Amino acid sequence: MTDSSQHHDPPLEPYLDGLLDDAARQDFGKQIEQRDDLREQVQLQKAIDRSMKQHFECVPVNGRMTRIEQAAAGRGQSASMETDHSNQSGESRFQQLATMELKPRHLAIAAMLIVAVGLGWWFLRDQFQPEPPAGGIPYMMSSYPVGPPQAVDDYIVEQISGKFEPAWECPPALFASLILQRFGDSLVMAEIPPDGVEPLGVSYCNTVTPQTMCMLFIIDDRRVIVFFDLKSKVDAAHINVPVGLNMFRQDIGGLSMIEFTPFDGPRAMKMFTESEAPMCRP
Amino acid sequence: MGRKRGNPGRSSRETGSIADDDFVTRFEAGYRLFWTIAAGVTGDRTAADDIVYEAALQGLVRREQFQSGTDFNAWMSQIVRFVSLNHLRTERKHRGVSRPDGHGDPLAAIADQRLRDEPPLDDEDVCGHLSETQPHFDDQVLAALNQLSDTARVCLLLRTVNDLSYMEIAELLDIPQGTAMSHVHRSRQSMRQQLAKYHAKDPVGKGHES
Repeated sequence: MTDSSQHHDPPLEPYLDGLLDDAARQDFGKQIEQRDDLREQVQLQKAIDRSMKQHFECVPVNGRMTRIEQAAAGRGQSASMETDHSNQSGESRFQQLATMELKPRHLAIAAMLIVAVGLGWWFLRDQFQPEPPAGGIPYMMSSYPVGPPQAVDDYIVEQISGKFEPAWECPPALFASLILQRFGDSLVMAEIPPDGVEPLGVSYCNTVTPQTMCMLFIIDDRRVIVFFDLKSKVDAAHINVPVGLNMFRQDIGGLSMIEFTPFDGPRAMKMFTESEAPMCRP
Repeated sequence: MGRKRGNPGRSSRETGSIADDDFVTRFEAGYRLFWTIAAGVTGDRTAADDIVYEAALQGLVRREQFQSGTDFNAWMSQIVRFVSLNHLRTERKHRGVSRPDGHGDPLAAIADQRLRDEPPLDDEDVCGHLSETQPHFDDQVLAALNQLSDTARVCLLLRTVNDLSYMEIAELLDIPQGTAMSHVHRSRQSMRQQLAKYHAKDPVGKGHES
């Protein structure tokens, strides 16, 4: 607004603001009487002001302060975990805001933890990962975390008393492939399991050795676990057998199978035989 | 105007923060200002209450940050503006409302809605008078108000609706007094220019002269 006429026009804005002294105000009043355009401007501004006041009039605040008072009261009560139902939303919002306020700090801590865990995993992963066989193994298998070393009996108890879920379902063809790639030996799983034997699948477990593979079975509604590893690395004499279970070992070729079962004899291991024809590495 | 400003009761805890009951008292005293700021920034008077409430909760959470000896209204006004701007951004994102100049147009949306909600116009009757149901001057005022920047709109509303002095506006919004005055004067001039034709067309005009 650099209109040059502004300098010659009466001071409309100060007049509207009521900032003119008496003399100036009287002079302006006279000019309003004499000049239609000026009078129209004043009337227009008053109309605008009135419209704004009507539209943006804030109704009495009594009712509106109630929920703020409740929120403040809820804030005081929150420490004692006494939540008034009437101010529940305000209080919960308040607590939510309080949480939001701490968010940057939490984020920083979370970021540091993530970095620490990442670095830890980076440095320790080789220690816990089995050496991949020369031929390589499928990505899913090779990347599956086997976790830190664990005693066989601990692992068994954990599985038996836990969810008893394998990492993967494992049909016979996949099983043979896994055994070959992981141990460089051949072992065939029967296509049709014996009566009452239900193979659930396989998992890797850092127990006997970091390469140990195990297979879970349900046999006559009981939980049975079979471990597979290289015969040369298995020392059954140092394996503790959990209470209530029996341990059976069977060696086939260069592999050892160790079955932990509540039954008096091995039943799961009977599913596995040495391959008649040597399998080729993929 | 009977507003409580400046230093209404500065009973604070030893930490320098403000006690809950004191907060409520001061907030109530400044409620109308906060409401106007919220309505001015967003241009949405219907959302102003919720924004002020949200700001109150934020203030309660952050009351430790309030410096004893400073202006509570100014401190809360900053929070209200912050919450209002967040609300505005959210609304713009949800509605996809934007203008080429980068300003949202919530007031225009309100005015447009009101125009749409009006029954079909008879325009002018045989005597040339405007229909009572015609979207009238007020809608144009809202539309013109929307053309202002957020800060200018808030300044103008605080001056016009709340009768604040320029010094009070400056303290509340943390801007120079001259800037506040400039915003108000320019806003008035701009609105008069835009609304002159509508004012002239509204001879019955509900008594535009007071």
